[in-house]
Amino acid sequence: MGGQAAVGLVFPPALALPATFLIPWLAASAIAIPGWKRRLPAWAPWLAAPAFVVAVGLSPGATGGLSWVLLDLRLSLDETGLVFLRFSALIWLLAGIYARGYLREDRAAPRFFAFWLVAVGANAGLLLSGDMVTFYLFFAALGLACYGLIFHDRTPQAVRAAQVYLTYVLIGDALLFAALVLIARETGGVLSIPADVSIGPAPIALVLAGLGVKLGVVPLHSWLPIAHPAAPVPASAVLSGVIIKSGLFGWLRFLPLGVVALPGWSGALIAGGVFAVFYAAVVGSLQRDPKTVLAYSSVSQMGLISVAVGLGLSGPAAWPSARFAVLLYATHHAVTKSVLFLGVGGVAGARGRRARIAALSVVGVAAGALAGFPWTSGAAAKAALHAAEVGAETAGLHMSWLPLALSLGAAATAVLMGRYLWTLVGAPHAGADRRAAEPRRPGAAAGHRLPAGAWVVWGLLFAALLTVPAWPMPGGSGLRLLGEADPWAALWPVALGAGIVLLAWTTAWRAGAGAPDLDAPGPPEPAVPPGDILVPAARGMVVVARAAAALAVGVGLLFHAGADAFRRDHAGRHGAGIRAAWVRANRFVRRWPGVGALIALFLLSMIVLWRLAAG
Amino acid sequence: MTWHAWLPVLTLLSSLVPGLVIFALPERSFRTRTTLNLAGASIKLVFVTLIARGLLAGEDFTSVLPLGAGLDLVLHADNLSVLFALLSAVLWFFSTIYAIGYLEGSPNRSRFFGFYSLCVSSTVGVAFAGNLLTFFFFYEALALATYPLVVHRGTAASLDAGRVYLGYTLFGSALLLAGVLWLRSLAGPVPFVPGGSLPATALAHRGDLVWIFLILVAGLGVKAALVPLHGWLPVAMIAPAPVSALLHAVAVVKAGAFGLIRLVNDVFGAGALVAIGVERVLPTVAAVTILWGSVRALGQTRLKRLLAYSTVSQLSYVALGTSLLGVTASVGGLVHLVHQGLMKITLFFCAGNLAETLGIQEIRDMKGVGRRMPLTMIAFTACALGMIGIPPLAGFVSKWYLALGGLETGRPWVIAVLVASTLLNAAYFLPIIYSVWFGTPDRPWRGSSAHPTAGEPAARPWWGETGPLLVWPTVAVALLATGAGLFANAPFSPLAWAKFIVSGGGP
Repeated sequence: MGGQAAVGLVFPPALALPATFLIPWLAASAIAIPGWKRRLPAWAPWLAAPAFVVAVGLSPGATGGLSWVLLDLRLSLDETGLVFLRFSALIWLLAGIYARGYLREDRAAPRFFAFWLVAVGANAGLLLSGDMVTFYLFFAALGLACYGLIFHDRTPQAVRAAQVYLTYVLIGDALLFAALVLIARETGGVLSIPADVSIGPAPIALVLAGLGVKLGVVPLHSWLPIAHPAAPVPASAVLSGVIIKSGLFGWLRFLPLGVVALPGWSGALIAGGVFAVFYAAVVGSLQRDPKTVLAYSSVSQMGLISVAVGLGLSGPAAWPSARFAVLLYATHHAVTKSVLFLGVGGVAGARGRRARIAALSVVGVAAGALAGFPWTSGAAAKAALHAAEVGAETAGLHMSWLPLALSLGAAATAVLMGRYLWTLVGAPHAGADRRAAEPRRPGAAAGHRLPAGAWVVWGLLFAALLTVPAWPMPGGSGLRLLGEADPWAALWPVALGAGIVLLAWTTAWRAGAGAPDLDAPGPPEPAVPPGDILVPAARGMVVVARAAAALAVGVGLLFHAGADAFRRDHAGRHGAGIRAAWVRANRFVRRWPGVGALIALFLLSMIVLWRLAAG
Repeated sequence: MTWHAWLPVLTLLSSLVPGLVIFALPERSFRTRTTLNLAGASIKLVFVTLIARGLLAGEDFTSVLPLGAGLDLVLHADNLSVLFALLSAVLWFFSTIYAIGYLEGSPNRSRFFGFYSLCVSSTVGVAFAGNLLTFFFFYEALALATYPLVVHRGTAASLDAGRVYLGYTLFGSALLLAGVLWLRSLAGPVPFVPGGSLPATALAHRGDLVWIFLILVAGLGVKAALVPLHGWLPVAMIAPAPVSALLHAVAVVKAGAFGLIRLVNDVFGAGALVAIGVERVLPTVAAVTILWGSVRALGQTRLKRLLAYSTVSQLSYVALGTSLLGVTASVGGLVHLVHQGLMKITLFFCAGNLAETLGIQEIRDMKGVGRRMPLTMIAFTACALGMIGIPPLAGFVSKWYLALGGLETGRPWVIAVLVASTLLNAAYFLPIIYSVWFGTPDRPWRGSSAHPTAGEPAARPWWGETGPLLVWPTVAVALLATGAGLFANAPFSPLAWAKFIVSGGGP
């Protein structure tokens, strides 16, 4: 605590908290200054440092604000925000340095980093926001800034992905706006929800849906598997690692967790979460691009987090253990998923056999951690989830099938991770022969050679991943659970999942559709297109839109025909005369005497009216 | 008469006198005309600021011109007047500078600036009108003074637009006059008093009052572009950009919306509206207008037409906020009067810059124009995002108050309307912003010889995307629009003044 006090002296919170977003945002405007623009990539990654300093240096309770800005912008650091800020700032910082190396030969890198800086500032501000309007400000800014990250490569695929993303985000933002207004009406704009305020079902549904878009809650998840493969590798890493967590952070802020019991919503969230875990695992296993597989894995993992949030909603007594599970799971997933995404670039960019083996082993360990292999952060997170489930049982929840479902969910994660490694090994890379190294589509990860700095930060992030169980959380750290947990309970689901993948792989190999398939010219379409339900949904919407347009045109034509008939009947007789008179009058008015006459006429009519009114 | 009684009249004269002198000036006396214009605009700003300061100190500004026969022309400055007068004084200042740059070298400038000044004088009259008859007088003067500006170019299209404009507006005036006279016969002179000024005896005539209210709303609704009386606004976009600014931001549509505020708050008052049972009329019409304007904007291919439909939609936020009859909603409506004005004048200046510099009228020609005219397009982007309602820009502040106000008055559907409008706004503005910054032009733009600074890139200063008199007013109003939202909680923001009005603020 002595260290924290010292940091507080050097960086008073009133300055440090606004600096976390003001510095990156002001720096982003360098894009408009010709001489500075070129140098933007060199120092942009370091501007996540203010957020990092706040994350490691300040204690919960620090406040600040800009009272003239918007509707009194207030900032405060609380326990939940601190947990999120720790992993967010770390990932932004390291992924930023990685991005500088990754985009070293990209002429559009300054634009990428301008959007990056806006996103860094928005993310930090979001986690520090002290009232609803401030939250909404940063949430909207973060959503818009990510558009620029996804669309960076400007290939048709990236442009479409960004478009899909933006549509989802705007709808989410609009729903969130409605939710916040409804809640603000009850609370007066205060961020936390007091126990004595009753929140109706409408705001809860709007919060779940509006923020659920960002979080990738099924069925609002379709943008994730479309956006992730299109974005540059470091952007995918922050997208999955950090940005989708902003939706989760909003849930923790605006749902009445630990305040009231909402059994109905709790059941819906748990059931929906479990469904998402398996649904995303099945659809994700059918994908062929490693980043798409990872995106589906994120959808699946967010399903597990929804289960934890649902457990917390079952009653105030269940919340402390559920909260711990949510925070640990969020941290674990953020760091692991970032390592995995950066690994797509790492494996593809590794030159030489040894580097490739090293890269693949790092990715393999991270994949094991995500699947919950014993003694990893994933095992700790899953143990926390089981503890939360037990906590909810004691608080009165009855779902006997849930423990088994969660264990099978871990197996499903293992299947997805197996599929990820499978696609990754077969993906084109810098060390393979020329034909395979050609990117199949523009913007693919292949062929990006990474400089030493990128390898170093990837290694640092991997090291951080190994320490996640020891990170301090409100309510202890994950280490406690690792000590208590039964390794066998963590091991069997992973083994089951790995077994399924091995079986599938050998079958595919024998059938000639395994690894060699991925080197075949031209990518075959996966059985289920990325975005799954979006494809039929979009088709349905097109049909509806066409029908509506046809109807509108039909009605319009009817009216038009009527109007034409009317004009034919009447214009012939009177219209021409009236029109000519108008033209003459207009011509008259435009000349000087005309103007004078108009004014005179006006004054005269005014006097007459005056008399009339008076009389 | 004391200083306080003179100040509203002087404010009126500060543009009327230069206007009348300008009419008499020969076409070539550019310098005298410009001096008169700018002096008038500056003096008006000073006067309105003086009045605002006086009101903060609790002073009273009333001028009465007795016209005999029991009829008085009353100019009375209250808090609401100053909101509108200050808005139009500030925007007039910038649009005068802009118009000088825009019309450089074109014919009939004395006529143009003469009527321009008359328009603004009438607007100040509308703002300071102390009773309904005075209001009508200036409202009518505004309509007539605008017509020569709409047809200024004299082309067939602009004459046609002028015809439509005059037709609509005279129809509105006739209704308004009928309503004013009918109300006068029932309730005597109707001064503007916060909370309503109808005497108790008048309230007995419920049936008459319902009709009077509907007629007055229709009469004002023509200028406020309420659906289905909005048809003139998209047609009138043919006028030159400074006139569009006048129509959409400084004067005309604002006078309509301002009249609605006066009618609802200061003539009838919430109590009377509920008593005669018409409190649902205006919110419904406003909601329909908000949605219909946005839907129509979606299909437009011409930038200025799209902006006109956007005005139809956005202006009804003001009507909606006022007609909900709640404190928070009123703040939202009043503040949007200012916010919409600031954002829309910027957007029209940008459209004018595009048309004047590169000959761009159609949205499809805007691809990649962000690189050619960065300052203009940054201003455009900021205000378009503000219109959508993205924080921290001004539109968000308005929407937040309107939505809260809707809940406060027990009308949660307001949120649905606002959300739908937000999404529609995004659907028609974001594709433009995208193509402006990331598109590539299909064909070369027209080079402009009218503005020598807009020549070769190497010869231009960094701001030289077009003439200085076009760039700088655009940048200035864009900064004001951005600042109004970003610093909404500052002591002298439009929001602070709107709250001051609604709280019935004295010292």
